[in-house]
Amino acid sequence: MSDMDQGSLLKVESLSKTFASGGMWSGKRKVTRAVNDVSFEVARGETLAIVGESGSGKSTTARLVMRLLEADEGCISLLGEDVSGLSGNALRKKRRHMQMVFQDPFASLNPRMKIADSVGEGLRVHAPQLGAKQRRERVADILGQCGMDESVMDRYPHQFSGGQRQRIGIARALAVSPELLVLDEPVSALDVSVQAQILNLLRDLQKEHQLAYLFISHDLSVVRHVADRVAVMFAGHIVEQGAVADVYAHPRHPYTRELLDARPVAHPSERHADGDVIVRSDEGVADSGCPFRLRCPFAQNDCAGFDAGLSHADHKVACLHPL
Amino acid sequence: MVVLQGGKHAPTLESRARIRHTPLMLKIEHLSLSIPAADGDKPAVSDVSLGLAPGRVLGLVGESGCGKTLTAQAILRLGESQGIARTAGRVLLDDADVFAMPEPQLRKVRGGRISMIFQEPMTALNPVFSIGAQLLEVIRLHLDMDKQAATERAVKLLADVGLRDGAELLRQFPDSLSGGMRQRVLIAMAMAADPDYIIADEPTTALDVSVQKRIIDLLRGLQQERGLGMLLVTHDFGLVAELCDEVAVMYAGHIVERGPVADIFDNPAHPYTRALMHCRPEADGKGRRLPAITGQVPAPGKWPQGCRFAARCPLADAACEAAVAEDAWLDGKHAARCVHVEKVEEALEAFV
Repeated sequence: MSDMDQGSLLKVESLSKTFASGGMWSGKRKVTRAVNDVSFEVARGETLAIVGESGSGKSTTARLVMRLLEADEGCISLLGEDVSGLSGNALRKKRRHMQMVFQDPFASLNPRMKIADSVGEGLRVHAPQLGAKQRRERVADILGQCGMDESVMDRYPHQFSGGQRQRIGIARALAVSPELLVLDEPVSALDVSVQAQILNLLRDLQKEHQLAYLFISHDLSVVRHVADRVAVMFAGHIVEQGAVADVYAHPRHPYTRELLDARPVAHPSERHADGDVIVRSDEGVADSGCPFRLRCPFAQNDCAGFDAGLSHADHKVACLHPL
Repeated sequence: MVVLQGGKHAPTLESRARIRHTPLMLKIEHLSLSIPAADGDKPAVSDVSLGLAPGRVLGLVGESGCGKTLTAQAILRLGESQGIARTAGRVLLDDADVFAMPEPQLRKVRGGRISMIFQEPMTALNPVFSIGAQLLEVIRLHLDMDKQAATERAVKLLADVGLRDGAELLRQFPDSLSGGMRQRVLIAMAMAADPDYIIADEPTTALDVSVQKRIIDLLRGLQQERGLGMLLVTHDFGLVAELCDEVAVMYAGHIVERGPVADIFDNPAHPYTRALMHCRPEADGKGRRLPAITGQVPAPGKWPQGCRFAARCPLADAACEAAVAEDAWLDGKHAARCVHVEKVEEALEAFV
């Protein structure tokens, strides 16, 4: 992996993960391929968004990248070094370069730790040379960058609102000066006005620290606003990947188009004339061939034999009959 | 007025259809609510008035903590067991005060005349009862039907909400259904007794985008086909744009702006409405800062004397320290609780 180009910070190749569920007694054991042959790169300072519905494997992908879950197959390189085999101390050292921000700011902070300790926890591990006083100064500085003043340091998570807790979560991730933040639905649990504050904060921090973001979201409007490139996931596969402007203007995979068309209208005058009570199946993932073919309005016979591999252009698509 | 008493004389569906031709109205008048807290009850909703007519969709919009769910639930007196108390005002269903109704009559209204769709389809169904048990319970509670007739109705209701194989579905348990299917089942339950009004509290928030769209289409279809009056509680102006005829925007326990949906979208008058509508990331790409409202909604009991939004508003000045009337600015049916509406364009610039 040493021949990677300079700009690439994270490179993920052919990542796969299966989960087995059910059947402890019934014998009906079901294996789900949560992430299936997923590959992407994230360059320094850029934002790659992974978008898809729940169950598409986007959060699992984030956890695999963070090595919070063990992949079955595939390779994860960070700063040109393969980290997929690392464990223990070696892995912990690498974690300084990539940190994670979780969706639920209520659940991701230890309720019994003061904010200063939560945010400074990473520094204890990654900057043991810092004394308590220096560490506190560093924590105050980071909190300041995240829009929180020093007075919050000796308080506990329950004393803060959702938006403030998400700021603390971001400060905690930033404390060890990572190059990459993996953000798993960081604004989904927040009110729109607070969401705007956090998106602005992420934008400012990215500019200032040249941060790269792997941004997991189901919200296409948010993705459009934050991302340079986007990967659309369906049933564990990346079905389309490219520059945000290209993908939004010219979606090539029928699933991407379905997602884009599903966004609510911006003005009441754009409303579609009448309601549509008839529905296609809410789910339905094909076990073989193109996983989307059961829901796809353009599916043809040959889709059953398609291996769902991505094309090799800049704007990649996994479809035999792209739009 | 035809009397809608339950029990053995529960109305047939035909009589319901006839009744619907008389002008009905659901009204909230000057409602104030308090919520319990360690140091005494705190006001959470103050002086809210809303009117909902059959066939119309009213959006109640605002951030969390503004009192919109409390208001919606008060229509069916749902918060009472948690100590939420009415301190003033009333809720009128065809001139009968819901708060004055004896319990048996109230039970007939709940799920009968007015039904509710909740946000969280995962928790609104009981996991230990089959779909059939839960759906039949509602049908038989409100309509005078034997088990077989109720089962037939259940299958028909499921078909109406786009779920085929209803007979099979009735035997299943909630955990084997996806979020979208559960929300459809809940909508079917809400329709079970052919209500006149539906209160939908964030009905699509917990769902995936593509499923959201289908649920929106379904709600619109049912609402139009049956001439339902719908109160839609949401924080999402996209949903408002899709479904509503009128909009009321709530902030810190009271209404700050109201009007026909087109007026609200074309000319949001209150700085809060304007900021809420524009802080959604929209079509423009990366890099732009979003207009964000700094600070937070003041907690119940910590409302200022004057304009409750003043602390977060770039237009606030001395004039905002006195209490502002709900129709301080008025243009036809469009009203805003703000004394600086003529300067509201500036507000958006200042929010960035």
